[in-house]
Amino acid sequence: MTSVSLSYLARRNIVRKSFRSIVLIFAVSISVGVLFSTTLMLKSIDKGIKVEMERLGADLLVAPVGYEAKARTVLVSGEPQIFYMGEEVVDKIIAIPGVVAASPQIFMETSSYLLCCEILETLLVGFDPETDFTVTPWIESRVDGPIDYERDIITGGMVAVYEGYAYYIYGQEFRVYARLQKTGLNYFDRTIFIPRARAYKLAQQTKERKGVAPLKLSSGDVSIVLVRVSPNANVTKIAEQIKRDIPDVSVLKIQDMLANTKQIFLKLFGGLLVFSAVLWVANTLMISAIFSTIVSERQRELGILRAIGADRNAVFRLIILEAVILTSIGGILGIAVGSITFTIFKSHILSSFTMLKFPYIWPSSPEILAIGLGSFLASLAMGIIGALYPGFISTKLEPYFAIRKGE
Amino acid sequence: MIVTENLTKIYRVGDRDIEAVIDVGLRISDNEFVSIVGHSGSGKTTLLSMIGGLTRPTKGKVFVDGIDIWSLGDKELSKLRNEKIGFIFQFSSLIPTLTALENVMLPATFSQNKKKEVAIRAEEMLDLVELSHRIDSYPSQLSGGEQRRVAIARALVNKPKIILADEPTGDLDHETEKDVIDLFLKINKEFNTTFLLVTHNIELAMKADRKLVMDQGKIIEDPND
Repeated sequence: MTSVSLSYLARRNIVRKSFRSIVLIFAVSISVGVLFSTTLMLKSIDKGIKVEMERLGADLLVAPVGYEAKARTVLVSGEPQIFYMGEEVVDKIIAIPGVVAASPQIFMETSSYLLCCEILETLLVGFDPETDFTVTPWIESRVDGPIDYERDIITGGMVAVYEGYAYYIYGQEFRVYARLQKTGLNYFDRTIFIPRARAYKLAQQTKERKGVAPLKLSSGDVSIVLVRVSPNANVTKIAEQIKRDIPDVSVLKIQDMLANTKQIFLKLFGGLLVFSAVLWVANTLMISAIFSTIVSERQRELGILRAIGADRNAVFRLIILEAVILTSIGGILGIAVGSITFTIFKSHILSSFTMLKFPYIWPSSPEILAIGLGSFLASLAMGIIGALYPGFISTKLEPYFAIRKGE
Repeated sequence: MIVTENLTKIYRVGDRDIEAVIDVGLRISDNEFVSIVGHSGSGKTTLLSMIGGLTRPTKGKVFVDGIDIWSLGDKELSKLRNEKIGFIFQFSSLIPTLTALENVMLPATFSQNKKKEVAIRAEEMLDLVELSHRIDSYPSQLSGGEQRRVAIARALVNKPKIILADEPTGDLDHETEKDVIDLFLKINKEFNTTFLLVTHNIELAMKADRKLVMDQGKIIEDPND
């Protein structure tokens, strides 16, 4: 031992009242753990929404009136939904000033396939290669040569096939032409994209072939139209124009649709954030109360420290330091427990998101680190703010009275 | 040198003013060993606290080596307490969570002194008070006399010019009390330290170079007057 620092003094004080310290650390760790976990989930949904927006590249979604919610379900969670409208809406949409691209998509009945021991559900989507801006820009790898509209399909990054391999849909053989980059979003990862014209032909073939369930799709059916508007155009006005010009369609703004998803998530999990905030405030108040008691209990010691040369600032720092050490330990513990819990139950959490129809992308390591750092700072703030008033009171003690009062 | 001018302290208790110290003028030379005696409530401790910069006088001034200590800001006054004054109180004033050695080193936490030198000096001071074998003991493991000797070592660690001792032997047995006072006299001679000792014990007070008597907030007897 070559010196007694303020932090050493603070640590010794913490050890002196070990039960009180442990209770405080535990309370802080619960609060910070909940904050960390909830923020992590929120970030994963937020990231999912951002990637979804970037991938879709559309400003508006046009669906048959009454099917807006189903259209949203398909895009957000990748869950199959069947509904159609006539393809003539595409020409009407593209004719509206300000619309720069309109690409139809067809949602078809689920195709299931057997992979080893489990049946994985995939979404079958017909896309229009000529107008598409949602699928083809995200191709990660493909076979050489141009796409063959008669036999080629494009698969999501999580469909367990390789490009060039054969793939059977409704008994018809197709070639995997390309695979998309993995996103973590079901709509892109677990979907098989088939050229629209070929989808109509496939439906016809299933009707003619015995032993295969018919694909209920008529030529000219489309489920949705994804619309991209000019950068200078007013998206809201164009949406209103589409609704005015084309009867029996609903128009959703993609941004609103995804924001709505976030709102739904917040409704479901916002309680946790509120719980975390309430815990944070309660713990801050608890720290304030505990440290007010500590200052009162240690008046004589504080007076002695002043007598031997500690100025007001040093006494204030000692009180704050003690609180900050406690809340830092609680914060680190909460983050560690949160991280371990997430690591162990990651697959369960992600499948819960899928069940709840949320787009999600697991945050990257730097993002998790940033969330951890933010949660840690919240724990530090808890200590600093909680001990602020008791620390201030400790500086107001006149050494002589502090020593006499403590006698 | 310590000089006080018209030093007065009035406490407000309820709606009453209590004059604890009234117009005390005092001069204590360097290396002088001064004792103050008086009944309980005569104002001895309050006077000592004002001289030591622990409680602000209602009126009057305190000069330590020519510095008007109550004109200093908190930082400067704390520095002065740290460097020039060592306190010994009438109770165990050790920090219970620190060992004897750590308690002695504590003043260095608030000074610019080199920590390593302080550690060596702390051990020397514990040796001086004959407690070098108890450096790792906590206050609860020390007897009352040993605790007081650790407090003396702590008061000396920053080589102060002045020691202010408030009833330092009040709760000690006669033998230990004699040892402590002998130690004070030794320190006074060896380190040329000025001592201001508050005590009830006339016999102890007589060992000082100069004995002051206080009553009702005033110095009623001073050989220099």
